[in-house]
Amino acid sequence: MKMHRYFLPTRQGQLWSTVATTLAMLATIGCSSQDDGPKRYQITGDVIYNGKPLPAGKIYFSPDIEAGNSGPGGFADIVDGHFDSNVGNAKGVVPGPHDVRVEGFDGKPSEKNDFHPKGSMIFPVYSDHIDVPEEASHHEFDIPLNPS
Amino acid sequence: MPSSARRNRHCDGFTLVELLVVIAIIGVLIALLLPAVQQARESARRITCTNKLKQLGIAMHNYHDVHLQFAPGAITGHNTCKNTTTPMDGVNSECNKTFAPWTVLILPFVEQGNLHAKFNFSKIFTPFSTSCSTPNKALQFQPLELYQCPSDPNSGSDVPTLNYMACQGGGSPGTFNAQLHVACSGTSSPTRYFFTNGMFYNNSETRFADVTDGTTNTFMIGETKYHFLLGSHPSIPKRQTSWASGQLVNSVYATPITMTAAANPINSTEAMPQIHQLPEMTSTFGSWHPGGAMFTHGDASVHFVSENVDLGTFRSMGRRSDGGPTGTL
Repeated sequence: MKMHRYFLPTRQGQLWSTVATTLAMLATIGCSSQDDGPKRYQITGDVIYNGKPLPAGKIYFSPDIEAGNSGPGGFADIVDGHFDSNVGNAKGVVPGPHDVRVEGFDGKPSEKNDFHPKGSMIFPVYSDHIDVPEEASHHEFDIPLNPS
Repeated sequence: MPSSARRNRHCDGFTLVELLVVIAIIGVLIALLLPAVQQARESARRITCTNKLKQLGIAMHNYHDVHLQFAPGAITGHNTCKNTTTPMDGVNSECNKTFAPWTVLILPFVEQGNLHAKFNFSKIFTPFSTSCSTPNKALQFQPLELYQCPSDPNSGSDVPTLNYMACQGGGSPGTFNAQLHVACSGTSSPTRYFFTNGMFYNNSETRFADVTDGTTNTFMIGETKYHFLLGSHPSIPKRQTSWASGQLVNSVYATPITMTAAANPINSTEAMPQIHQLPEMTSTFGSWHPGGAMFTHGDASVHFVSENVDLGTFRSMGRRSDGGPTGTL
């Protein structure tokens, strides 16, 4: 009887553990809230330059203000002709019409480009326009030689 | 009687379960406290950073009181843009008529008058530690704590970094339109950008009256986490820029160095100390504070701007007189 009294949960012990669990849950409620901004969706895709995958670059999505869209801008690195809007600290793209801007690089760091990790710039800007749906989507960009 | 005595003895102490529960509660509380201590440290660093931005804002206003205009973004003997791909008149030397940037001009208004007096303003301010001969170079590459954010692990008392950039404008870096977007950019790889629609740019003479969008709705100074540190240029390892760098006027590579535009989203590129980030230094604000960066507005108030800010509003805040409604940040 003595052992039983010491090692099995008593009514008082059950009360304590209930209180402790409730306290812990209450205390962690405040930790989960974070400002993630407006709902954004993943965009993946391929960038073809002059018939071949663009070796390196960066793609930016700006909500088209003139078409009435608004929201934070999206961005993604282009690696071997492929990009994904939710890699690293990028959070995706808001839905609606967007202006797209692509910077293209040859992916070959050298003396000529101060050993920039993306290499030499092939073209400073290629502009396009897309409509982003309210779901994850895939877009292809076919960029001609020497875009303006 | 013996049974009642035993019961009394039981009531004197705690059961094992009670002790375990108490230990568990203490454990939970400590687990909650530890991240909070880290948060408190970052919070303290952010307050220090806010304080510096506020001082720079007041210094700008005091400069305006004395000189009847805000400090020029930087002084050079060149026009900002010859055409959209030829900044700085097409000069091909980086040591040609590049004079003091705003960071040096406002020194008397941040109680650094003695340092200001040591500079020779008729001589050039070199953009890089390795090029140009000038009597100002030694002082230019002395670290100045005023311009460093304590949250930036790449800044500190051993490097002359600049964490606070004057805002040269706002808009898309891909559209040449001096009123609403980028004014010009050189042909370097990657491109660095020049804007002229903000409060500060090459030889700017902005007055309060020129900020027609309202000083509350216009960025004056913002945070950056992008640097050109020692060792980041593989073939010239001793090359770096500083808080007092003059503009890089060599047209192909031309870079404002002490000015950034509200062009790309906040923190849209990660800080990479191992490579020089001159393009980001001209186009992207950023900070090590979680979730955004702080800005001094034209009225010298300091605000935290979230990474989730509407891009159109953000770019409009960078321009001094575009007439665009800004709404709320």
